[in-house]
Amino acid sequence: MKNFHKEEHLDTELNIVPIIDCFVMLICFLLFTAAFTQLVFLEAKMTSNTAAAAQKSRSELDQFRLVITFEEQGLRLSTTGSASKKVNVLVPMLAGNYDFKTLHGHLINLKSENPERYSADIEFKMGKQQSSVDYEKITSAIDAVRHLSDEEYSVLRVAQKKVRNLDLKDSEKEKVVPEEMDKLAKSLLGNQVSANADQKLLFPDVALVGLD
Amino acid sequence: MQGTMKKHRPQESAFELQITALIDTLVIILIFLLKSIATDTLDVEQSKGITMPMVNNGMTAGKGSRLDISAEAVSWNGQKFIETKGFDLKKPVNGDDGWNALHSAMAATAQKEQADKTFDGKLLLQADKHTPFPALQEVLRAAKSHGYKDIRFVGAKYN
Repeated sequence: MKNFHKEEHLDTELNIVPIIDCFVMLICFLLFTAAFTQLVFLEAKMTSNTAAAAQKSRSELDQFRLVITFEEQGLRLSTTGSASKKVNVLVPMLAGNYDFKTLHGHLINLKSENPERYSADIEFKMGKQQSSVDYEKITSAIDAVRHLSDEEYSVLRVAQKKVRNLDLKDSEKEKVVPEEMDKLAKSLLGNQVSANADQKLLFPDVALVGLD
Repeated sequence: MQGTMKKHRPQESAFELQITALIDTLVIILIFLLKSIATDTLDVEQSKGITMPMVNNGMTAGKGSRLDISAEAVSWNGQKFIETKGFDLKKPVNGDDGWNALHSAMAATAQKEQADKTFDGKLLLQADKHTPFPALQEVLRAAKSHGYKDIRFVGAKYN
């Protein structure tokens, strides 16, 4: 009996080099393939009609009212009010889609001219083409109206540093500042209200008219 | 010369590399990466069957009652109420019962929040990017009738 239960001494060595290889490869794979996305939200108020919206801040809207309208032919950008230069621009469809990039460009120019204004209305007048607008297009419109993109904001910061004659970092010296960003930088810094506000914002107080 | 050659002969050594610590570190990095990818989002979880639209910017901190719209269903705070086929909210699969149940659930949430004095009319809307305008209009009309007027459109942003 004693012989059966005698413990045998095993002189083995575990080779863990392959498992380390696997871990390293897995980490590299995760780092390269992971899409680092984040859920964010864009806030907008719903209003039944323009009159209801107007009652809320009548005096402000008498001075400046910016409206972006979804139409069958494209996006219409218009301004009314005593304190603003009248604008009425149709941004036509681009290859059958609403052209939010061009709209965003117009909004940057408009912000340069009205740096102290922060509100905008989005209206829906698509007629029978109601299904041409979906959730993605509404979020794209709000996104274009509310703020600058990260890249645009970094260019704006460079432009503002140039206006203030501040030293630029090496990476900033290479950045090309478009004319409209230079204009926006001067305009935002020149206005007392916008100089103290978040410079990334264009027209953040968005009201959706007729979505409900 | 021969003596010099002998000096350079490789010698057997009892040197052993201790790599347990290295493996520990790699495992921790791996867990950290998996965890950070999974949780680096807004307070809400992404619903099943919803493809989010991509946005350039947005806010990450904020709460509110949650309304989800997919091609197959409309859910309120994670609970499915209206069953649909291809966003057709005019003719839901579960008939008018779905709409009635959704209205009741919205009213109950609003009443509870008002009683707790936490009601602020904010709504986290998480819809599939292809949700058509008429479907959005129908659902948001219902939400607005219960006092939800500030809509937080949820989208995805590349970090």
